[in-house]
Amino acid sequence: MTEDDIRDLFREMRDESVPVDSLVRVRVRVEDRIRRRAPWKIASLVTAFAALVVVAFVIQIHPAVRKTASPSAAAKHAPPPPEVETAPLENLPLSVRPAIERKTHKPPTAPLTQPVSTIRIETPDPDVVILLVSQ
Amino acid sequence: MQATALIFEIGGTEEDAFGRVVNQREAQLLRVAYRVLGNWADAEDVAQEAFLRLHRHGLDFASESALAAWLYRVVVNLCVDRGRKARPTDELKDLRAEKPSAETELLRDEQKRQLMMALTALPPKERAAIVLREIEGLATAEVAAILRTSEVTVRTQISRAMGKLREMLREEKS
Repeated sequence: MTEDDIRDLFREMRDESVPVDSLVRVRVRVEDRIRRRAPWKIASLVTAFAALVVVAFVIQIHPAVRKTASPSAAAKHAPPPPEVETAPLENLPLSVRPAIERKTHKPPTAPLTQPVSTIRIETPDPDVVILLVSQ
Repeated sequence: MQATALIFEIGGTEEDAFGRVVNQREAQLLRVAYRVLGNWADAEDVAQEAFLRLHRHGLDFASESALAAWLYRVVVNLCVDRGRKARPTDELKDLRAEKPSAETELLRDEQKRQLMMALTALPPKERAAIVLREIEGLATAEVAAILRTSEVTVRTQISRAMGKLREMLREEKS
């Protein structure tokens, strides 16, 4: 068989029709896949949007992300210290608790013979608390 | 007519345009896939996948020929990716007419069957080049664009393939 014979055969093959059932099968399958894909596409978009809304909501309400008030502002809005008539501070025994001790409350080592009243004053510095003890 | 113009026909939607492209190109793609793979079942899978990829890609092409080249390229790549020799199994009996025909037609059918068997024995890329140029009738430049190679390479592949086909058909005859 020569090359021309082969090319003639190729030309005849070009004119051969494609089986109708193959055409129908391909068309039906393509339409089916596209139709099945559409709801998933919508569902994935809705899910992504919902996830964004949830994340934004969580960020809004999370206390760690909330802007804490500045110390000066806290001082302005802090309740005024209770008005107590006391002697000047240098004459009164004061116990200023450092930040570390603040967390662990130590009970008094000696039994108290008389009732003691204490006044706790919180300063703008959260690590510093003024405790007034009157005997 | 530009493929994108299909979308802007009066009352047309992208889905309508996609449907029209499927109708226009389906037979072509099936035929190419069949000639490269050698059986209709695989050809249907490849054609289906090609249209699904087109749907994902959209119809944004510069021209009708760009769309055609894109589709051919996808089909050829899918055929090559199948990674196995074409299976010219029972489908080749389709070449024989169902009702008895004249002796010359029988002979012609037999020659086509032998040519098809020989074609499926070629390496995938040579097979694709021959199918696109000799059966689909595309120009060498178009084939080169589809296969993403040069025209020289396409001519070399076809020349080599034709030589192999001649050799195989000669052996078959003897």
